[in-house]
Amino acid sequence: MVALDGIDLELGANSITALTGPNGSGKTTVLRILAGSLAPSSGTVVVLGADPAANSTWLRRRVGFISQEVALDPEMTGAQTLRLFAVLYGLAGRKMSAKIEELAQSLELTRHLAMRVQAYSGGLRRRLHLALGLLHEPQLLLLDEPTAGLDPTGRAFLWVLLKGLTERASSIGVITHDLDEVERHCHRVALIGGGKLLAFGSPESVVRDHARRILKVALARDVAPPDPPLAELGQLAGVKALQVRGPELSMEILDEHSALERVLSMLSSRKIDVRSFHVQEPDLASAYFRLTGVTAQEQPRGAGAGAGRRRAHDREAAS
Amino acid sequence: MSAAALRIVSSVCGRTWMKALRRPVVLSFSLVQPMIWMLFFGFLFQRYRVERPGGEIRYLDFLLPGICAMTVLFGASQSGIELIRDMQTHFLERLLNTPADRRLLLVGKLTADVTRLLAQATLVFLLGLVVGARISPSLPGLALSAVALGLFGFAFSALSCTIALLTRAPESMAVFVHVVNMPLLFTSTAFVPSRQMPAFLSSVSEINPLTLAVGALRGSLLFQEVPSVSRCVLPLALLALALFGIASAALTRAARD
Repeated sequence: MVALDGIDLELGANSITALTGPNGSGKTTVLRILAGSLAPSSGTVVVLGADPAANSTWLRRRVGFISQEVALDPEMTGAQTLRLFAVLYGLAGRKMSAKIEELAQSLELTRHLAMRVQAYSGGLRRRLHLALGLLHEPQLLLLDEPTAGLDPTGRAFLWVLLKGLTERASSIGVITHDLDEVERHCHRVALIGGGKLLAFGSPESVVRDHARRILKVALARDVAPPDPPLAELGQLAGVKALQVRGPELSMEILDEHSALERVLSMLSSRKIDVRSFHVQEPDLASAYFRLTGVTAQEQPRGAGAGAGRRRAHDREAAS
Repeated sequence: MSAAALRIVSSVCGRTWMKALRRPVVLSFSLVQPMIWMLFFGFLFQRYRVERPGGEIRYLDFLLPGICAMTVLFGASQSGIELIRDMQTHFLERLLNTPADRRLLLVGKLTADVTRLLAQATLVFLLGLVVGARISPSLPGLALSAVALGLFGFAFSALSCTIALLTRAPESMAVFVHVVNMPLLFTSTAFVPSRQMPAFLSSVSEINPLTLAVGALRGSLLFQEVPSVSRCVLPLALLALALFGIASAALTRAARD
């Protein structure tokens, strides 16, 4: 089985690169290869100027890998866990104490350090898990879905922290399914599907090159592809990629106003009642759907029907 | 060993001890089994005299060093369980992702295991005295036989860790008891002197590492002997080194998987 094929991307310094794509597309494999815990069967990987497979100890001093699973010992206290890992990362004495104190403060763990991890909430565990990966001030920080299970405050807090780290010369690679957060916080995004790199660049450039304006129309009754009006609709100028799901129509439109008018007047002339419609502006979610072929039912967080940038004229339509 | 390496070993050793102490039930169970064996075998064969050149000794006295070594063997065989728990929580993966030398991680864990096993064996020994065993020890011999017993514990803890790392299944630790412990125990001189064994079993017992550890302890406890470094300590040290090497390789492999 080929897990990754033709992946060619570069994580820049002082920046956050998001890796996104459907489950099982190979994102974690990319991260594990960069972390040196997996070796590619072919191809070249250079991490901080070195081959991760050949320089694993050297690399482990400079790379932080925060796995998706919160890997903690429930029987240890937060302080014991931090001290153990600080020693394993080569810290000692005052430097170790200062680093633990700094991280505990910045991650708001200080008053929980004496507690055993088994008494921690999910958010606290994730913060401690993150702290362990930051003890050695990695030059490259790799995070696999770090916001999973965090409440909105925790998520906002994490992104502020990551942005702060990029100012300290860290390069950050983060796997996330939250496309809204990618657009807001990441400098670059790699869209991976089926083990291939489908798009790579700034979120703006990926949207510009791959996203389309989507018109979604809710009809009063179910329609099916043999319906003659549907065939006609698909052939209208400026309308592409018509999808039908019960009474819901979805299509790419090239020019918003003229295409919208043509669609609505055609449906009206065929006596097909329209309950509502809205135009979804091009965004990362539409690029994601278009490139991965993922259906709305499988959509990632932040890419839902209500999450795209809807136009203000979204309205109820009278038949 | 550098100061940084010592810190790694002591930190991992401290964690392993801390976890052992948080499971007092498991610790006490590992004492109950040898005690039961000592009481049953000791009283069952109380009329049995063990022949040796120059006289004979009571069976309970003969049995006590064997039970102490058995305590170490059975305790060592369960050493891998903690690694399996760490694999299940992904904590081991996390430890292996640090730049710390993996051999030092293993040394730290095995040091904790060996000190715990020796402490348990000491407790069993003291309980043996309480139930009537009599000894006539040599202190230098006792010190060297503790080293021999420690090396034996180190070797079999490393073997248990290897099996745990390769199988990743808690059930494998139960299999270890039947496949490794029992054959090792019953082909050693823990319960019966080699001269009273059938000839083929006597030959097997001579190359059994448990016989070496039991022999060292028995000689120093009962006959004021000092174990031979070349015939007892060195072979056990080589066995410990070999099994440690295999366990280190298994740990490196686990890091890649």
